Amino acid sequence: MPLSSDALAAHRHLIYRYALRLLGDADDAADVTQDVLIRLWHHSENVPVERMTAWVLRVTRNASLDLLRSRRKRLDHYDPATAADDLATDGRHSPDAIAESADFRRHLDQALARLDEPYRSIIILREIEQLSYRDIAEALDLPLNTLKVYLHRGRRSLRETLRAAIPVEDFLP
Amino acid sequence: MSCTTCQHQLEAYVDGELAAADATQLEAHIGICSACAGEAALARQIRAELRSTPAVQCPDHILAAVERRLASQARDRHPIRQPVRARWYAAAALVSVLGVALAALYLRPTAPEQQYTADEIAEARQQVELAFALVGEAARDVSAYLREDVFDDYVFEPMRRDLGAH
Repeated sequence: MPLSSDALAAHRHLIYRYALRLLGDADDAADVTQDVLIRLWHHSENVPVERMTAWVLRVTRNASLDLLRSRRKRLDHYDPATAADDLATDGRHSPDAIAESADFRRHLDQALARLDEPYRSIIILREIEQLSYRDIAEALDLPLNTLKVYLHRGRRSLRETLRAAIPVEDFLP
Repeated sequence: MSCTTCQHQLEAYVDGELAAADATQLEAHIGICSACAGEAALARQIRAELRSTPAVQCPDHILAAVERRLASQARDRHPIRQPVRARWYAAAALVSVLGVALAALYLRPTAPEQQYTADEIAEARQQVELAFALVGEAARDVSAYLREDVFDDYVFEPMRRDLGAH
């Protein structure tokens, strides 16, 4: 039995966010999201429910990387303005804290966009989307232990990039 | 503990995945090493910042476009040939019925003594049965088209979607 529209709606946010992070372009992310949802609709009968998330992630990643290869796009133009705006509307942060946090996030987004695969996907899926190790390992076709090693390696790489951009003294407790 | 070891284990420590003894050694080291303390703070901030990333939502127009494409694909897979075929059947059936009726009028006995043979009666009956069969088939085709391509796609499925959404 094919998926319902509700099932498509449930997956669309994850697909769109992942594609947007990988592609750094809202229009490209929209194209990939449409294609993945249509493939999900047609192939849902062959995908067990418990493996649906991993399947969706794998198809999204493949489609995004194919698009990047075909268009030779670079990933360093992700606009973190939305994130900064969201933070700015949070009354718990002082203006200075918002500025510092927005600046930190801008550096972090740029560092993440420049991270190589599969480290970038692992950081996006584990740290930002907070998905299970099992789903991520299956989506990226990696053994669980390798995935954890790569996660720490990816975060260490982000730390090294940020350390070069921001003085370490700023982070002393 | 050396700074190299500390930095190597920092991510596992931040995730709470370091063995207790190793974690104690690492904490002792960052207590006396300001550089590694800064690295630990940076690692914590990166993790916290990533995990508090605002969740971007997929715009509604993307799902609407997907539903339009799926509906278009469904129409392509089931082209509306049934009504065309049904119309031909209906026309053929109508012509047959009219033909039989006209033949009956034209060939009706002008004199009470005129009689039809058994073969003529059987042939006329066959033509009437064929005409009714064609009309029935046309009606079935139209009914299937209405059920599958009109009511299912445009009435029942949207209703199911709406009910599911609530």
